[in-house]
Amino acid sequence: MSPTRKQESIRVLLVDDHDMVRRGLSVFLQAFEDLELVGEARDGLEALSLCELLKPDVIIMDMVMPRMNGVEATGMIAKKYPEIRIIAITSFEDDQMVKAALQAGATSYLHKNVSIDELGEAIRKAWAGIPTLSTEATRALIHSATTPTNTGLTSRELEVLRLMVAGQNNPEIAAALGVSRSTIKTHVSNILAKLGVSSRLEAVKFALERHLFA
Amino acid sequence: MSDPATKKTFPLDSDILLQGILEHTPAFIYIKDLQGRYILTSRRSELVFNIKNEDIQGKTPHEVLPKEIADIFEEHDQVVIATDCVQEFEETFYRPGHPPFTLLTVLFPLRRATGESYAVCGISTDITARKQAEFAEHEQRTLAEALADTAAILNSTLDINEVLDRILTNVERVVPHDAAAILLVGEDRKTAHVARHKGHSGSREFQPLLSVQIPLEDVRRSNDLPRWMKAEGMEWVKSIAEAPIVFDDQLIGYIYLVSAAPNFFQPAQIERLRAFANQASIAIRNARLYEQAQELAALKERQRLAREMHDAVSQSLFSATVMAETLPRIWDRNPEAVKEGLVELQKLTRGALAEMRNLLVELRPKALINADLGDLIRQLADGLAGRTQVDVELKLEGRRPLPAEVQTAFFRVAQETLNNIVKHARASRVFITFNNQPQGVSLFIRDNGCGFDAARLPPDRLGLKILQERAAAIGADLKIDSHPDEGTAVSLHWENPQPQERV
Repeated sequence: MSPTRKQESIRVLLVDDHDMVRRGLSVFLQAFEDLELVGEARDGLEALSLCELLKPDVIIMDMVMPRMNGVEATGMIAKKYPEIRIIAITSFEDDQMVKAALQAGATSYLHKNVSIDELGEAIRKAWAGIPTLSTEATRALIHSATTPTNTGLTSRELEVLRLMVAGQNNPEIAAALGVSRSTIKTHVSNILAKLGVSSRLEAVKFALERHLFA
Repeated sequence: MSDPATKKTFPLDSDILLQGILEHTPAFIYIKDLQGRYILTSRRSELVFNIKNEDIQGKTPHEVLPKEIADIFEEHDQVVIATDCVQEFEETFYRPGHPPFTLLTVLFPLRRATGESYAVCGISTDITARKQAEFAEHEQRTLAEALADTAAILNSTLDINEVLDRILTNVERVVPHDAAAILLVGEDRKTAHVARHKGHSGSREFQPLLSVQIPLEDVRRSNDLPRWMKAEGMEWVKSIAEAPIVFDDQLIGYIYLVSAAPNFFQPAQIERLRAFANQASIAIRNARLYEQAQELAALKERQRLAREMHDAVSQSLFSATVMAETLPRIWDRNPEAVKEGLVELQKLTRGALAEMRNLLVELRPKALINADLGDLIRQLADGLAGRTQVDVELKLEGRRPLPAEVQTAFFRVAQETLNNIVKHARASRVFITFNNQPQGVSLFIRDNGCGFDAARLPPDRLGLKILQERAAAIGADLKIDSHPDEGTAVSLHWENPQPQERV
């Protein structure tokens, strides 16, 4: 840490299970006088305890981590320390993860192709409460907003579809739900009709593509 | 026929009575003198032996009957004469080209009033039909038992050789033969080889045909013996029974039974052999499905690894990009940090490159077999140094090609161990030595991480079981030494069984 830090610099906590990513980001923070690295954590659990200890202004939070992942940690930190701003960052393209992170309380969502100027700007904005979304995250949000997830399936039909996705056949689903095979057959044809697909396989594909059971 | 009791009630002429009985009895009745010549025979014997009664009179069995039958008759006559009392025999006659037949025969001496024997009388009933039924039932039962036994082993093991051996054992219970073999068609579909074989009578075996690739056209049946059976050392084979093993309409092999006797096998026996061929087909299908499932599992595992490594590469490149962008900005302000950063940048890019190469190994398994094992281990070490802040020290000695399975096992053990260090060990230093000498190969990996208590670890955690299995598969010695807070040391040593030979 450079000793010439201004009093009003933004205190940043890095959370990432990859040593090298933390190392790179810690070097990056040296490039901006208004940003200050206060700590590093390797997973969500470590991040939680460091929040209590360090009270950072902004957290750069990786999403996929062992022990406690980024979404979970974001949710817990946002609840316990609402004044801490969280920037979710990931190398994965996963629509569901964007939504989950924002719902959990992340201010911003970035991908690991962000330039250092963009990242610096995102930290400052987050600190001021202004969200930043990467192009990929924006696209993911638009996609999920324009794709109807309300399938019109009843909860029983959703349950049947979930078992179909798990690879079970009708007799197995019937056994699992404790109903007759013909009941399941009716459910399956209703599901196909409601989803507007013509086969089991397409129904399963539909469910997987829309992360109905993520 | 000279029972005094009968004579008292009815004045019968015993000669006429005897003639009537002999003419009409369904039994085969005969009287022979002590020299074995026929004196009287019933009409029925004409049907049994296909000789006119008049032609039998005064002749011995050997003069009128085939030798196989006459031998048995005379032997039994001798028993009666010698013991001088009633005897009962089941007489079964086998003649080439004829179905066997069985007589139930009662033989007794005829005596004069003085008590001395003057002739032997025999009364025989043809029980061939009953015997055949009994025999057929016995054969069916044996066949069913043999098939059931094979089915049981089919369900209990996926070891194809175990099943095929059991099939050969069970065939022996049902169809007698001197030796048996299962021939499997190779993947090229041009040759076949003896997969399993079994000799049942001394040295009569398939020895000369083992480890020979047999052209498929030599396997196909010709007029007498297929050409491959005429190989040197197989001259003893005089007849064969064969049943094709078919799977999905494709010929995958044959079961062969061979005998040193010519024309030994009956059509019904070949029919039974087919049942075993069907079982062999199921066994082979099961084994191949299992193999495919295993391959699929291995492929999935490779893909998972590839994804993981791809992730590692993109993390390293992100970090490298961030550093490369940052370093010029702090050039003036903090030249020391820049110098340090450049060293790290170099490590990062080298690491990313190594990860890319490791990724290629996952995607193209041939690369794993063709490369030098030392180079591969350096690649793994570079990858580790690139994606972590672990200080990696590597010592490599010796370069020589190794058997593919040894190469693969060492690479996987090294890879798995380094992955464990990244995921669990929280180490700051890793020390790797690899020594590839003609006598053997050694790998040693030690870290200064958190270690673990082997006794408290579930056996399948950390893939330790997989490591042990990989080592065991090549007959190598794997040692894992770890204690909480004292790091972990993994050593793998493989002794070359043929240190002089080039592998």
